[in-house]
Amino acid sequence: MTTHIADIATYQPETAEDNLALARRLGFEEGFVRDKIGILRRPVLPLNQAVSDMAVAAAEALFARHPDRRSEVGALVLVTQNPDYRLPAVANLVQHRLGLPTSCAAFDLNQGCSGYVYGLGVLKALMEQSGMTVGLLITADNYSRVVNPDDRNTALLFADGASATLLERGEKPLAIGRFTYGSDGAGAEHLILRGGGSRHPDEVPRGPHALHMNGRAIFEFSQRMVPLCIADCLARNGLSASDVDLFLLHQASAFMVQTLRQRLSLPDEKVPIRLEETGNTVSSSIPILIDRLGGVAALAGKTCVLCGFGVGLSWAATVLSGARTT
Amino acid sequence: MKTSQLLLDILAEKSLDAVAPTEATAIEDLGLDSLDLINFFFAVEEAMKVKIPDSILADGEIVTIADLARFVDANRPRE
Repeated sequence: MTTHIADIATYQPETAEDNLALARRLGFEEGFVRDKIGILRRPVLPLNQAVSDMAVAAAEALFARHPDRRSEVGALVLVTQNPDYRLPAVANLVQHRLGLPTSCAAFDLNQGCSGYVYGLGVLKALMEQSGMTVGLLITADNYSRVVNPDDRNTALLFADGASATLLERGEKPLAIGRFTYGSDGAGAEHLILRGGGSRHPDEVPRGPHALHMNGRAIFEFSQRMVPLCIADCLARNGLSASDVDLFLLHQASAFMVQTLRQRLSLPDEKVPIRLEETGNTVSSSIPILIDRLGGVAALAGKTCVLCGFGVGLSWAATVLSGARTT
Repeated sequence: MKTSQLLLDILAEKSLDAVAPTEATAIEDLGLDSLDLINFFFAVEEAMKVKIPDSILADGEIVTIADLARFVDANRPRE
């Protein structure tokens, strides 16, 4: 019996910022934003809402399609780096608001761009170890609350969003394969936030209370590590790159994905980019990408590599096998 | 091959040579945006096994492709 992804739902706020207008204010040319950043619109969570609100919205969209699963959830893993409060965990708040059973294991997982894949791995292992048949993975972050709007390195990139992924045990696609994980805290300083919290954030994201990103260091880390991570993951799953239909990479920016395509010697159609209307949603970027590609149904019959990478520094990859196993 | 020619070849390989540069071309006149520039520096670092510090252009010591070639020659590991 395998653990598979049964469905994915996503949520992004309706309120959004016009990236071209912000780019003009920051002195960027429109062509740079369209071609390199690849983001024209960034959904932004209103100030009277927090990460748990997006998490609940994504999960409710999922349960609207699977109403019978709500009472069967054995574990909730919630990936975020901007919890409502320093404590308790957002997962506990969301478990209650969703009406999940109190027998449900619920905890937060602090990872960013690699967080979706980490979350899949942790939840899969927990379900298999504990004999659970249904698990819920939520990713939710609102980096807009911690980005300095005058910072040319970060202001045009990050957007707010959430996803909810239903995991089930059984012999169905999309079976989750083996994982590659990695961490290198030596690079932690290159993408870091030293203060804050999403429910009562610091009023002005400046100095140590604003996200700092060394874009060059993050670019170099990604170009070096992502190909190694994917190669290791393929080997663990007994696959070669030619066996894979889609490489679903963290949507950091159009430039990042384009350069990784080149470095991996992969055609454009195998490494999709869907950023214009979503922005870089950190741990939600891969499930939102899947949603934009047509959802789980669009991956039927396909073999996909998922790879997240970024803050930590941290990276992870796994394989989704779309073929039926029975 | 001269290091400056190797750097020009990297620019061409990365399709970053829109202005037909020579070794006398100033890096800031290459027509590269900030992301193209980090892509170029990364390719040079990988090819030449040298670390190019973030401050290299701001310091004013490196202006042209030839300057960068001299930096690379002075800092790359000896074979």
